[in-house]
Amino acid sequence: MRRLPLLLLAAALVIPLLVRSEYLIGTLTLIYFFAFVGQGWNILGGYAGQFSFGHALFFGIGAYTSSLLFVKAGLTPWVGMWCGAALAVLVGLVTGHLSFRFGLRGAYFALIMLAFAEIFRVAATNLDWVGGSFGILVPLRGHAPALFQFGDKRYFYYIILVMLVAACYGVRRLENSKLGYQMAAIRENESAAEGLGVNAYQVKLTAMALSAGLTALGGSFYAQYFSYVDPAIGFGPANSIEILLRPIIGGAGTVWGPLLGSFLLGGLGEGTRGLVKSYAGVHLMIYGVILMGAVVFLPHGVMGWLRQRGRRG
Amino acid sequence: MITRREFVKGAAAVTGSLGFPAVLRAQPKEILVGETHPLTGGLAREGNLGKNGIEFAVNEINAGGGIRSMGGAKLKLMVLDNESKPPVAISTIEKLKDAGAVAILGPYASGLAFVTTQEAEKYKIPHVLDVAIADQITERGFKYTFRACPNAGMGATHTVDYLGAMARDLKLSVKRVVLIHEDGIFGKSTADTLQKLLPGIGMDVVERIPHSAATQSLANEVLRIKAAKADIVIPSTYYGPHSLLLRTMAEQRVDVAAILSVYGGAGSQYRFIKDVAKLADYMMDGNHWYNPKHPRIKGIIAAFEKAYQHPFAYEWMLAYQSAYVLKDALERAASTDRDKVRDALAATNLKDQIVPYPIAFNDKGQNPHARTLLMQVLDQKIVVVYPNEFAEAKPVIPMPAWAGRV
Amino acid sequence: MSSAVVLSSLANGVMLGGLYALVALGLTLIFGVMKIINFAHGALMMWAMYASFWLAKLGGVDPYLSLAVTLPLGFAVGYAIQRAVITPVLEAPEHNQLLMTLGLALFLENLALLTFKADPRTLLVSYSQASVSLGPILLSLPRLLAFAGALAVTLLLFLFLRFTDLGKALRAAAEERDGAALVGIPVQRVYAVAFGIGTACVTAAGAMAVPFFYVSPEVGNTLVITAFVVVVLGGMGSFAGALAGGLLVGVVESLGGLFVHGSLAQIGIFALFILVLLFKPSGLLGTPSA
Repeated sequence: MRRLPLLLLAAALVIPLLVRSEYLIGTLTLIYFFAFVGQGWNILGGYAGQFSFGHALFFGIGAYTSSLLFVKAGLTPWVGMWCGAALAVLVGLVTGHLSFRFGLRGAYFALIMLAFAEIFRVAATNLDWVGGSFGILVPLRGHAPALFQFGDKRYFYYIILVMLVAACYGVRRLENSKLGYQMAAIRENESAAEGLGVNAYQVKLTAMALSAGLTALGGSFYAQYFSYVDPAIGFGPANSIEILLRPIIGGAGTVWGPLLGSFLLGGLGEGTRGLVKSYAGVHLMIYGVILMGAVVFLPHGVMGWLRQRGRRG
Repeated sequence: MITRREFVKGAAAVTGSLGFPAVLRAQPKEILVGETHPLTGGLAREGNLGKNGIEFAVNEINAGGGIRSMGGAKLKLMVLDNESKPPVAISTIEKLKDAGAVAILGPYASGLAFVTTQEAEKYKIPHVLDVAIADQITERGFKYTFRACPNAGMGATHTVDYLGAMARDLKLSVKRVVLIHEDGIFGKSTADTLQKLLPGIGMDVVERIPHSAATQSLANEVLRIKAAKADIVIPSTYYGPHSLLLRTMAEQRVDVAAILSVYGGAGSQYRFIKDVAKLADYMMDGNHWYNPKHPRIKGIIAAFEKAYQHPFAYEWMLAYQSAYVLKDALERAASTDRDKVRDALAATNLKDQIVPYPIAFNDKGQNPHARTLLMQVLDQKIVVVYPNEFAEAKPVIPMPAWAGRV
Repeated sequence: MSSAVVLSSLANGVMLGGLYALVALGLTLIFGVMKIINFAHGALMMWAMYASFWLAKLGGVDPYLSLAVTLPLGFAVGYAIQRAVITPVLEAPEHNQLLMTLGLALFLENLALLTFKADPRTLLVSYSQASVSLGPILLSLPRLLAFAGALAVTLLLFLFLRFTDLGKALRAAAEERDGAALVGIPVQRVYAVAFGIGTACVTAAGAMAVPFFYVSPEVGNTLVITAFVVVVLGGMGSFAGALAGGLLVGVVESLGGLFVHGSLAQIGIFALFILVLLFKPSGLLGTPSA
């Protein structure tokens, strides 16, 4: 079992060399991508137990910052993505400070994050210098690795794979660090944790910053991969939902959760789409039912279920 | 159980799509044509109309003997739903590439076309757009993207031309124009063009009112139209707000000489007329439309109504037309080689289509001859009123006051 | 800007607020009783709108009269949803409840897409374009009716909770689940009733909106986020708060629209929302314990 992650990684590394299917490569790239942003959400929503319903806020900041810097100042997205992450951390600290200072929890915190993201969406729609409602079309320069543009999809595949592995490794380290234990303590019982001397405000703020930065890096990747971002794609509520679905289905607060969730939902989406072709909407109905089923039968995600089985067997 | 004949047929399709050298290959029996449309999600209505239009055209083409230059090879459609989402749209193009589609049709919406054209370019697959009117799509230097219909800028320009001609021909004293547009990409860019061009025909834009596409009420906006003493109101927005605008203007009895939309969501839409009946009368709309004088058009419309049990829609027509553009190119290319098909598309020179313009492409892939027409709803029928060569009736302007009608 | 324009805009805002309040009432009831944020609320409203729309189109039934059929139906559907879908997650963490209603919304929306197709539809009734003049202001009659409807529903709910046994049981279950069960209140049934009433409320909102709005499978989405804002502003679980919050949002949006362009007015609403969450999370009219 210990070798499993390495085996999977090896498989992921050789797949593009063995298969010539663009569809498979593209689908895996998106699965890794959603796992990556899911991992970003997971730090705050899973480990620290602060359920954010507006992570599109950070995603959008990343996507917009790297694209704008490239379009307006010619700065390569390789640098721009870190500027985006820095800005997202800053915004995360401000929104986090406001929310945590005033003790917002649960549904209230979820909704205030939604509202922050909506403010950014409306502002981006109305500000012409960030592209207004049109958004930003990243100018294409052919195969230009220095500008985060590639003639072959496999480059994107390997980039997001590296990003994902790094994120998973980082989160794994975090899990076993002092900060990780403090986050878990706050998730289980905040007042008890504070009684033990944990500075809940500071810990939650740190989780927010990490989570925001990671999600923004994902946003930058998205914008460069699709060469297009608009206010709804960047900051819209539908995006916030996409970001949080996978870690929750897979198992929030676990390293493997976002990855498992992303594979499951990715496979499910593709599967149901192929299943029913002629009736528009049927596959999303099935998707909805499976979502509901997952909540009932896997209340702690797939990881929770696996652990339970592991304990029993 | 697979019969021998089916097996041979399948094998032929497979070898055809794997791109074996032509000498080794018999003429393909089937040509795989890809299609990506938003069949679910926010754009499902338009996507399904597009899907129906392409299916209809492909059935006609196959019934008419397929692609003659390739021994009567039949077109085989692979229809994929992109759920109105760009990430899904990308994966549909990948899937079509893997399946060996010779070309791709779709995807109705501009937001999706930015992604699909870029992917198609990457894989060098010809992509014939059905609608997707954002100007920028063909400004990115793509070699494999083709659009036969007018883009957003052309639509606004033509409508201003028609308005100017109408004012001149009928000696109208209209001057004050109010623009009302949704604040997304489509409404805003259209309003920008209008604002630039209207002074050229002697009209003043006295007010420009953006609104959110998801608005629940346009009462305020109508108040501002009233206060601006507008002669002409030009909406460029989607179905919901367009419908709300007309209804609120009627309710508040705001009388103007004309409500003339550019690509209006509820303009030139029989479903809107069916729902609101008399209220739709006299509204004008500069939009995609068919050539009402074309000899085939009556038969096509009758067939449409029989097949789908609802009144005609131009989204369907443009998708139908796009399939014929591809058919013509395949016929001339006499090959399923994507580059040959691309070159054939680039050399397209189609006349006498049901759309009111010839089809040829400039080096950006846009058809520079494309044009919109100006329609008016008269007696709950959509009739062409401008330009004169296609006009079926004289425009009624100024429109009668609401008070006598509702 | 003339005072007539400002006054008209104010009146429009109040009426728009009535619609928002009506949508928010059911949401706040369900939250108040079960602490569940129902993301399927908009989808349920959409279904109610289709029900009224088709009863009018096919049966010639006025949307207001159609309430005689759709209200009980809405209640039954809500009751069933609670039993089948919500009960299993009542004790689950918040995010699972949220996912549950999200899955339900996805299901309902796409079922509507399959059944009714994606076409937005508009229903005109005899009074759709009618208006009532009030000094210099012309008020839309169907919007005015919906506003009156919102007031009536709020009042009825208030009376029901105050003066009927079932209403009292509902309040007891809302305040103290275990305590209510101890004194013999069938908590699960009471919850199902609450979800039923909440759904009936949004059914009423749907029927009343049909004469002046349009119907499409996506129509609920635009309303439900506004409804969340309204619910929080008013105080989750507070009816008077939902009414006040709805009016406030309607007026801010309407008057704001006079001075700033397009969707920018929404920033004001969200900013207000954030301020209320920060400084008075119990809402403008909520009690801190609720």
